[in-house]
Order: sequence, then structure tokens, then C-alpha cells
Amino acid sequence: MGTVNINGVSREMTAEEQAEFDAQQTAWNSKSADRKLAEIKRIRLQKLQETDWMGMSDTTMSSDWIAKRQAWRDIPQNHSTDAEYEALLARDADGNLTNTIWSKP
Amino acid sequence: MALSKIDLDKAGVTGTLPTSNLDTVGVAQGGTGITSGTTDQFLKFTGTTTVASAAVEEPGWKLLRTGGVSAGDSYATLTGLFSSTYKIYKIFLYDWNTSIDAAPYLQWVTGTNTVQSASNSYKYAGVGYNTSGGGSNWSGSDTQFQIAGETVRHDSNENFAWEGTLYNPAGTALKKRLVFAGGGKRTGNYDFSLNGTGEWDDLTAITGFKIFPSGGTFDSLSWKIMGLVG
Repeated sequence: MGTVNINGVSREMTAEEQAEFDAQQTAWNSKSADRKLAEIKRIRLQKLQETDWMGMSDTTMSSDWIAKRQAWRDIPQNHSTDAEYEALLARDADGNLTNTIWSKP
Repeated sequence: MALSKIDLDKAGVTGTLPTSNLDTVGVAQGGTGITSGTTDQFLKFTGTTTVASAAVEEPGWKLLRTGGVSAGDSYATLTGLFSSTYKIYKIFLYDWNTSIDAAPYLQWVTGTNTVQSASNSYKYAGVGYNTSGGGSNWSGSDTQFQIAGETVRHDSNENFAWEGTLYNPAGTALKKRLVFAGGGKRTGNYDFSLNGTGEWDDLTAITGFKIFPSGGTFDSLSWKIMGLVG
């Protein structure tokens, strides 16, 4: 049994409380992939916004950058498993994204 | 003939009265202390005499509750906390750390210990920013408040801190308004800030609250609750 805290005092959960807690954990864990994809989309949006200036009329976007930005847009179609999401979100000790999809061409 | 009165002026009495031999001087007779009564009473003049006042707290924030969880607790509930005694309450949550990355949630308690979780009854919106250069805005209509726009990172030395102001929890004419601010480290190892507000879509008086992470259990959490006197 897990524990709960009522007014600063911990006690064991009742069976009913444990069932409610277990259901909550199951629901949260079942959406793990959704949360990772949302985080990936947030990173992608930031990357796209940072490079939008390349598409302005007075500049010419290189083919490498065109391909890179398309790869970012295609992430949801080309990645769909939890393991793939984990790989896209991998970071080094300094917090930098390490997957090559995020690197500049 | 027995001596009944001494005219101190004519007698020319000087020196200091030996207080150990004095009886208690009543307030009405000019006594300047209250030897019994209720905490926060003071002396007041009625126009004709001096009496002990009704108990009046010093204006300002008064600490009502302090405490914390034990590691492994899945949630914390504080009951019997809010009443009509104070119109404005301050909730401080700090040293918030959990076993997994999780969003911080809050629900209101009514009555003795009834946790409120009706669908779409908690409306909230907030703005934030994070050191990744991105926004941490969020909003929702749910069975609880999400009190930050990010999933809070669970590293052992990280700490999410939050403070909220609750207005008129004992009132039953208007819906309850919570205004809050805070910050922490989010998933991805970036710091984030938050400012937001939430409304509980109900007129019932609030007496306490429940706090819990969206997943996992608490490693640590402390709280201090204050009421505004005056």
C-alpha cells in the first residue's frame, strides 16, 4: 500500500484510495508518448521559427536547409514509437539535443 | 476614632510603593494591565472608563499552518484550513520534488474533507517562459487545477516552488478565485517561470485543498499557509 498525507500526517492508503491512485498513474503513464510528441513539436516549432528568416524574399534558402526543415515537418509521420520519441529528445549532459535531426545541415 | 483616609498631599508622602504588598489595580481604577482574558485583547477607553477590548488580531499576515509530506506520499490534503475568519489566504508550496517528471495539481476541499473533482469545474490559464527560449503558457478546464505550465523535472536536487493567493474561500456568492506564481525546472532541464489564475466553477465554501503530482509520488514538499488579518 502507498501512503497519503492528511494535515501533515502520513498514513497508509485505504483500498479505495489505492485504486484511485493506481488509476491515475495508469492514465498518466498511458499518455507518456503523447507528452513526448508534444515536447518534440514544441522543439520543432522553435527550430522552424528560428530559421523562418531564410525563406524571406531577399534571401535564398539552400537545398540542405529546405530538406532539413522538411524533415522537421515530417517528424510525426516518420516517428511514432515511444523509443523513437526518446531518441529525438535525447540530450547530452549540458542539456543539448543530440539527435542529428536537430543539427544544422 | 479610626483613621479612614490619608490625604497624601497634606501628608507629603514620598518614595516608591512596595509593589509586593499592592493588590491588583482594576482596569476601571486605572490599572494598565490585563491579568486574564483572551489573546489579542487590549485596553480601550469608552468615554467614561477603561475596559478590556474584544480580541483584535494585529493587522498583517498570520501563519496558520506549516508542514510537509513524507517521502512516498502520493498526495497531501489540508483540511479545516479556510474559514470566514480571513478573506484572503496565502499558500506557499516549496521543496516540491517528485519521483518522476510530473505536472503539479491542486483541488479544493469542502466541508470536513470532501475533495472536489467535478469535470470541467476548474478553469485555469497562465503564462510562463523557459530558458530554452520558449513559452510555457497553458490553460485548461479540468477536474483539477494544473498550477504550472510545465511538467516538473524530478531530479533529486531540483525544487519547484509556488505561491498562490486565494480570495474569500468562505464566501458563497461568488466563485473562488486563485492567483498564483512560481517556477522550477521542467522536463528537458530548463528553468521555467509561471504566472496564472484559476477559478473554481462553484459557489460552495472552500475549507482546504489537496495537492498531488500528475504521476508518481512526492519525494519532498513543504507548505506554509497564512491568513490576512485586517
